[in-house]
Amino acid sequence: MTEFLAQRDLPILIGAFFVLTAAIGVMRFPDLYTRLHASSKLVTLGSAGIFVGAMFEFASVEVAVRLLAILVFSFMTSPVSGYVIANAAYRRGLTPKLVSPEADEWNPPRADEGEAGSD
Amino acid sequence: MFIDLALVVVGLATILVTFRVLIGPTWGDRIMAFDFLSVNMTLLFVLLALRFGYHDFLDAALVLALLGFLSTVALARYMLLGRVMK
Repeated sequence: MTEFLAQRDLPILIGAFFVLTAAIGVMRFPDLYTRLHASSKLVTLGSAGIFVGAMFEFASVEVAVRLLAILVFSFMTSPVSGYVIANAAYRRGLTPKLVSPEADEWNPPRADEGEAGSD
Repeated sequence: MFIDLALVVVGLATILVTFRVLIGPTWGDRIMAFDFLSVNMTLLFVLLALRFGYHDFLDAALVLALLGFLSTVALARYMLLGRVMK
């Protein structure tokens, strides 16, 4: 067990596990907002694991700088993209399935009746 | 060996998310799954660079991360406003 834990590429395996968990969540969750919860948070964690494991694996400075750039950029942009998608869907009038309409705090102008944004 | 296993696992996640792009009921689902797919492609490029020792794939991964975020923001803006720029 200790030599299994001393493997150098264990963070890669942990990150790949979290990415697969996020994909299963995206397939199984009932609503856009819950799917967005799964994808934005778990993908950030999984990509951080894979990038840190790749840094350990290459062990050279020029590769570590590129991987660190991708990691910092991913940490900056993943919440922004999640917010932008949720904001657009909410303002287009897609109601959350797991919340009653009385608990809807912002009460945005509904675009039209029914599930707007569906094609 | 672990890198091969990670490649298989990330590939499986890519296939699952491709199904969500195809069957997603609303446009928000498709944009969210497309964002997931771009991050997944970045991870696949990094893992392929690890597997074959080919360092130029890392630059491709960086460019793909940048373009994935920009295309996600542009698609969400188009879904919200009906236009991309002002």
